[in-house]
Amino acid sequence: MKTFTHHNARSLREAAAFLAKYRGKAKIIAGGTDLIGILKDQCGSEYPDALINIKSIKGLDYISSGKQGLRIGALTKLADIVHSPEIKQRYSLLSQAAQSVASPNLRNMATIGGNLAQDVRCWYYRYPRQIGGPISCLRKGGKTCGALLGDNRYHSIFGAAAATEGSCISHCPAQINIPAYLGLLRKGELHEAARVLIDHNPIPAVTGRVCPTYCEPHCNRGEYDDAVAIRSIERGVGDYILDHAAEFFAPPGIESGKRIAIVGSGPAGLTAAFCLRKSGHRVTVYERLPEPGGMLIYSIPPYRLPKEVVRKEIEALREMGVVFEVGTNVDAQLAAKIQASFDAVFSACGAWGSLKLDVPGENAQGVHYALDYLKRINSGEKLALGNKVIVIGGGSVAVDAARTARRTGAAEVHLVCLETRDLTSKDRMLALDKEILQAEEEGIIIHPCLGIVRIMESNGRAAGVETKKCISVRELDGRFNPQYDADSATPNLQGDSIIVAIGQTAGLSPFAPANTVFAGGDMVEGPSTVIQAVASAREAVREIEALLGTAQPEFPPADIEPEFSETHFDDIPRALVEEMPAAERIQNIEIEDLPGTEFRVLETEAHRCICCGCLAVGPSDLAIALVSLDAVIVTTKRTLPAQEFFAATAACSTVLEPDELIREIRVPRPPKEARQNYAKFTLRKPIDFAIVSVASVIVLEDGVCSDARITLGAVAPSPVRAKAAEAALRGAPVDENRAAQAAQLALADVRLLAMNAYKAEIARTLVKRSIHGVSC
Amino acid sequence: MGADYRYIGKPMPRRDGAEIVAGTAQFLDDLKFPNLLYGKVLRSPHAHAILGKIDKRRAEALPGVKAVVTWQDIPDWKGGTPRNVRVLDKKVRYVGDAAALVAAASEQIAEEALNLIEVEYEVLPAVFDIDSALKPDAPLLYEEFKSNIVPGGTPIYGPKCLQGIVHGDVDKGFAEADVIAEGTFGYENIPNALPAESIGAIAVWEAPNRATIYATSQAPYMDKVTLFHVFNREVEIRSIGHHVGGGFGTKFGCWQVEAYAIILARATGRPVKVMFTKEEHMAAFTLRVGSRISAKVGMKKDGSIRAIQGTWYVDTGCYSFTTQCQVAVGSGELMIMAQCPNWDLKNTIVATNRNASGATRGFGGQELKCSFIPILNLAMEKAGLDPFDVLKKNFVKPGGGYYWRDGEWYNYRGVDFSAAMDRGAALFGWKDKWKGWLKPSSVNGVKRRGVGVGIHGNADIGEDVAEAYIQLGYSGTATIFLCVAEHGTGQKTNYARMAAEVLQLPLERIAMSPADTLITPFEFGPVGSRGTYAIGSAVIKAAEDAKRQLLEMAAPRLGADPKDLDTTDGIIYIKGRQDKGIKWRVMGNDRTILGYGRFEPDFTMCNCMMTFVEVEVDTETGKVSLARVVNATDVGQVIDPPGLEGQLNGCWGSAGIDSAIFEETIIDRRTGHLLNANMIDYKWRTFAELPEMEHAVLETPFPSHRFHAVGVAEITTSPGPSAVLMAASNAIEAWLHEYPVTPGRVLKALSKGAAS
Repeated sequence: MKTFTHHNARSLREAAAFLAKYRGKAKIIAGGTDLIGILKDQCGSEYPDALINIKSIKGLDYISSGKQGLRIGALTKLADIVHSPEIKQRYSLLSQAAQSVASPNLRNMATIGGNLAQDVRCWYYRYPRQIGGPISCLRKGGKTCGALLGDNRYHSIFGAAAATEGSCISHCPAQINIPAYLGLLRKGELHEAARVLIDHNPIPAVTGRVCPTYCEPHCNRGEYDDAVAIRSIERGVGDYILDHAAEFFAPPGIESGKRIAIVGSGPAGLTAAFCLRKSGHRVTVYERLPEPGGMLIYSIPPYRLPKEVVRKEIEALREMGVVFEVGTNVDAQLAAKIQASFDAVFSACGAWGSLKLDVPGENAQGVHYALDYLKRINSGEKLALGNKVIVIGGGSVAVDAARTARRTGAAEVHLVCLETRDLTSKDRMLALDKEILQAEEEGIIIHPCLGIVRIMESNGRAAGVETKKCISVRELDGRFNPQYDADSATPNLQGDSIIVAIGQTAGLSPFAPANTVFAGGDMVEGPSTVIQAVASAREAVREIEALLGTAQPEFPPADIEPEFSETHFDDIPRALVEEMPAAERIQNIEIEDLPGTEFRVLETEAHRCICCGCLAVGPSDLAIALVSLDAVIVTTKRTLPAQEFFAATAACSTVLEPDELIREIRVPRPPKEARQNYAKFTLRKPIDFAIVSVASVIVLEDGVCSDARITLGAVAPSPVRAKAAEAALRGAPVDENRAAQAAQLALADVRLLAMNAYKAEIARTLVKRSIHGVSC
Repeated sequence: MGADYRYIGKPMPRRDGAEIVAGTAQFLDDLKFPNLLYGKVLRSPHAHAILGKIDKRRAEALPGVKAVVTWQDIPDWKGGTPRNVRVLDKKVRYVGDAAALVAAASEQIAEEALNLIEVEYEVLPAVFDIDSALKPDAPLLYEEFKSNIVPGGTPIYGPKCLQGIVHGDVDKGFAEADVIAEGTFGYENIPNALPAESIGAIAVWEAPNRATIYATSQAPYMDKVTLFHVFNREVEIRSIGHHVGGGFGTKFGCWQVEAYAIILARATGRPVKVMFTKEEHMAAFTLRVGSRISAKVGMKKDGSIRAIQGTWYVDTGCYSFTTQCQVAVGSGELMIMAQCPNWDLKNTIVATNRNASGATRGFGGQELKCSFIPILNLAMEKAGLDPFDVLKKNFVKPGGGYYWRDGEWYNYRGVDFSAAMDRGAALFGWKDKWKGWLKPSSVNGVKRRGVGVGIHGNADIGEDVAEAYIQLGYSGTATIFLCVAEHGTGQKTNYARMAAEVLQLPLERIAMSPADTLITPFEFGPVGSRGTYAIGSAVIKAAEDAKRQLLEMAAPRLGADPKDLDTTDGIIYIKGRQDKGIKWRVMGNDRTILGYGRFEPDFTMCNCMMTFVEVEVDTETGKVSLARVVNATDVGQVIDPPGLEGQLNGCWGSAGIDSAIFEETIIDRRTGHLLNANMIDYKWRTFAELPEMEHAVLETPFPSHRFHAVGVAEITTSPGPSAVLMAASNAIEAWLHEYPVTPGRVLKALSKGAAS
């Protein structure tokens, strides 16, 4: 073991203060029976700096019972619970559960608080450092759960505790709940899947085509073979939404009577329009250009995003009741008027300004700026740039401009940029890898590491560029600070036209600052991506709703059953989407490079999502007894029902915060006639953790069940209440058939893994036996 | 009962009992050395990889670190069979394989240093079982072992080392047979014998080329021999034994950890201790071999086996040390239990990416039989025969014979074990409980009971050379010079009692030298079942030799012929005139009488163990509980009654019967991690749930040594596992062919079978 600091806490408050002070790098030692193994094996991702001993806290080892029920101090030893006459008599479930833990010497050390807060027994999680470990796993912030494809004989039969971090969701700027809608797709519930998607992102047909996919590189499926083709699926569901626009863009049932103005109809504006209209507000969108859609229409080339898609979105919003005022430039005067007559304003005017090179010759004829160029092309203008075009810049807009030029007639397109072509370098081109490769396939010649000295002219027309060697673009911290080597010889390039694409800027908001004015999209964040615009609009919508007092509760009410993630692995290769060959691509700008994918294929692809989660099961014997006894856990911060206390995540089996400790356990007194039974299945009687356990409290009146609480342990990340089984028992005589029926119901919703089907069968048996009061 | 002995067969406390109970017995971890350093092993996280760049600078810079050693720092030192396994290699072959060694002033510093060594691994695909290892395009663990097949045979068993059994004419045998059964069955759960004490060694280096090694070894003298070869015959090894916390055969193979300690001691010039943690013991020390057989058995209606043909696949893990030996011994052991005239049994040893297999009690035979008996069961079922009758009928009897490990044929000259088997069957109540194949003995609701029987026998009782000296002291004492480390069986007490019996001295006057290769003669180690017959014979002969010299010395003084003299309690006298004797003191304090005894290997006898088990199966949970065990054997002469009882009671543990109930080593078949390297997840029975156990032990004198005894302890674990499969199958009326009979397997079988 490594050395650690040891503190004797005198009170729970002091212990909590120590925990806070060490910021997660301290561990509590109560009995220490669980901790010692973890420390010796160094299986955690971090070794604690300090151990906070709470055995030194006086007065926390008590058992007191009265009419109100039972109170047990957190530091009460399990052996004392086993031997307490009042617990044996009236709360025998608890003493049976405590008796089943480990062996007498461990029960003499272990405390009830420690038992409830103990860590899982998963052998992947606990794999020791000494023999080639530790194994990185979801529970420790890793990317996979070893039990998914490994030996899962002891793991969950009800699904996994969903991962909270590191998944596709957390890397998506809009936090789209990807596993949720893929899960619905797997069940064939396309319509419901579309609902989940549109709730997070109202323009999936757009993002499904142009998103740089923040999610896919982090998709944990990639650890096994290839990431799930999330964007392809999103596109398919997005198209489905547009094909059924009437249902998804239905006008709101109730009008709120509030009026909201949105300035700008790009992705941020459209997102806000959808969300706000859906809430029942009257929404007017102002657009400077003749057609709504902003960058989606005027900047992104149609071979990536057909205008038809955007137009369908706009049309759907119109049908929903959103009003578009096009060709309307919101200047200061109009802004003031809008501000006065609307309840709230959302300003999302984009970043349409172009950065200038600031070199001699920039004013020559034939020098264009990329956004302006793209806007003209996308407006249908037949703009000929000549045979040989030079594009200056290394970002996505530069590449879009270069590819557009190539497709509209330029025989030779040269792209000159400061950055290096080495995509692993800190000085790499900012365009996406794929875009760069596609551009090269299409014959665009990239000249990396070159700065522009001046634009050469011939008869007042741009004729080429004079370059200099760029030796560094960014500082180590990412700050833009190009360095040049004046002595290196570099080529001068000849060209008929020049497109400058070195960056865009936003204009100033026409609105006076006020608490009813909100902003979003590129205008606020600077040039970014469509999905970032969606995310920023949703954030603004949240604030607007809060201002208007129309906010919806973000979380569903408590007392819901624990939802486990349907973790599984289907051995299917990633759906292959074949792009049109480059030779065909360069023929036009209208046809999409990437075809859509058949829906059948996408449904199959959805099966590739493994629903990342931790498959370890809750380890505590006492936990399920407390859930069945309807106990309450009192911590240093709150008092909550046992079931809620054990709501597991992939990171923790309880809801305890890092600086929160258990103070007391309160158990209401069960009716005298309640039959209490703890059934535990293990391979060995002593020592073993449960393979399955069942805690039941059955109240019988003349052989008829008046109440039942049945909780299953070691079968899921949290204790599982068998509510359907309980319902089947209530009001009925408890006989063989009824018990067997209850047992079937208790295990109706299992999600078995490759090696743990037997656990379900044992669980059925234990439920049945426990109802009859047989302990195993 | 044989002769009326003074010590032999008398219950008495072990000589080292008090110090073990009091905690004063010195085990490896108790030994103190000045300036001792602590060694630790950096272990690979990958099952198969080539080591790339290793940066050890940060580790070396840590205060307290005295050496960091990798494969680049040492000569081409190799062990294994054949000798091709580098002590540290540029390749790692299992999760946990050694990538570097560290010596530091404390264990904690050494551990911290491990975390500071940066190793780049070039990860290779790996194979974790026999099937994937034998695939045509399988990655190779060793370039020299094509198809991952390890060459058979071992030089220590001689040029004709048994590499399979070809005998008679199998075609003829199958033609004669009334029933033929075939199939592929395995014993591949690799139970771990798991002695209580972990594995370790302390090395002291003396420049330029001497090393003294203290280890957890149950065969100190063989370590001297093995290490001499590992270090290219350039290092002179002295090996010293002491108390060992259990071995079960596994601690015959401590050469790797010993080599680590020697390398670190050489690198630092200071004594270095390398003690494996329990996790390392379980995941980075040797395991049982994995065994699988594809074979065909022909049997007549009268239960005689007429032909056996097939291939035995042996999974040795990432290298072999004794696997070829286990194949040879195991094959011979199958012949002992199946006196069949026609054989064609081949074998293939396969290397896989898990920690290596090594010696474990049962030594090939347990593994082979656990795989083979399920086929035999099918034949017996077809022929409608009682397995007890068939096993009894086919076990070797005087006049029978077998090939043994050196490839030679041996005619059996031991006792007929049939009487012991009958006694066991009666004690167990076999005839009442056996209801036929796939029939339970009793049914009580969801609880069903079934019975099974298994058998094992081993001609290792007389294997390998043993030598001993006994020096007589003029004050009527004797000192045994014998290279045996006490590994828990109590045999050191037994050697003292054999010497005391020969010399007729009070036991407390017998001293024993430490096991130290500098002062004792050669001894192979108490492995196999050789402790009683082989080692015992050497001690007895040394005592007899010393006694002869003593009497020859005394004869002139008593004016008698030496053959008319005898000695008791340090008095020499003419037989029949005990009152007129002279004390040993007459030899004077300036004379040494040193007796020498040597045992030459003898494979003409074997031991035998038949085990009857009764299990109870819960058909709703699939749980199989061991209810009752009866062991039956004939040991010739009991030497140490409580010791024997303890050994017989140990039949369920240390990779025995429970390897069919719940003991298994669980390896992730995707990554190669050994998942249950702890005593919670590795299922060892606790004392709280021991089965009922009774034993039938006969004492029919063997033509072995003076006391007519043979050793039996090693094989108490071996017959049980297959008996459990038989019993559980009978209980649930459906075949269970896989070890162990987990709830999952039982429930699965039940869902297809009749009892569900």
